Amino acid sequence: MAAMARGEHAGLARLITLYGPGIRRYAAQALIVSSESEDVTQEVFLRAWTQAQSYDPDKGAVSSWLYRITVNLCIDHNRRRGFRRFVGLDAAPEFEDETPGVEAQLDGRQRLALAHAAIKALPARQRQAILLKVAGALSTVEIAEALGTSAGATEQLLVRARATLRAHMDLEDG
Amino acid sequence: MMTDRQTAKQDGSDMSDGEFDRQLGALLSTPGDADTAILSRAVLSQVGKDSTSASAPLGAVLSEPLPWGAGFLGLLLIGGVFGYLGSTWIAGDGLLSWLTLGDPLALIGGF
Repeated sequence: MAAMARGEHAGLARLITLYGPGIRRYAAQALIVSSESEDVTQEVFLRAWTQAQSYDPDKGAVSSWLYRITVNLCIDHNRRRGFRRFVGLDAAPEFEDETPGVEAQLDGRQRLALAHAAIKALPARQRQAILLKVAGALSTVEIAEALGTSAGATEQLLVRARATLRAHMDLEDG
Repeated sequence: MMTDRQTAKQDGSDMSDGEFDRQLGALLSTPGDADTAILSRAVLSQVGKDSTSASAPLGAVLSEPLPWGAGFLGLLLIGGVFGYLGSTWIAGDGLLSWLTLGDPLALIGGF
């Protein structure tokens, strides 16, 4: 981060290598249109580059700071997308993964579609928390910093999210 | 705070939270997920483009309003001077005096 604040591109490249995959995974699940995840991920790092000097290590880890930007950008994108759809500028998103493929891939695709549906059905805060955990591989403290909440509240969000997902996926399996 | 084991018991499943998270994460990941070469190239080229760009973003205007405000006032002043010179050159001082004093004087009878 110090290198980035000094304007060194190497610092940004290192940050992308470390956090790029997780942020892209998070965005792909959190966005209404998951194909926009690449654009959002780029936007996260561009924003991190321009705001590097405002990063305060005392307020939290770099990962929390980056994921807070990601969470906010995804919310903004979804809000804009929802408005565009409301006024008829965009068509409703298609669920690509629900189409059954060859038999060997069927189970995996179904499980993925099931997971997508279950995650999307979660309340927003639970969805953000569980996605930061599984896609971003953040610790509970990092998630709490990213969401601006306490570690205890985050743990509760995770517990509830897991319980709902387990119930939903078991129900569909059974 | 509940432990993995407690949660697993409560849910009636044998899978711990850690294992559940790991499996869900694996399910959501796609092949080539970890490849950041294209992402790095796109971001770094965008950063390079922005640093050479002459146009100031809206954020710069909002965060440093004084220089931009001074520039705007300067342009306004230049416009005013040109307008004054132009009006006296075209219509002479009579019209300008009438425009300037006509309205206030109209209150007490006018011209």
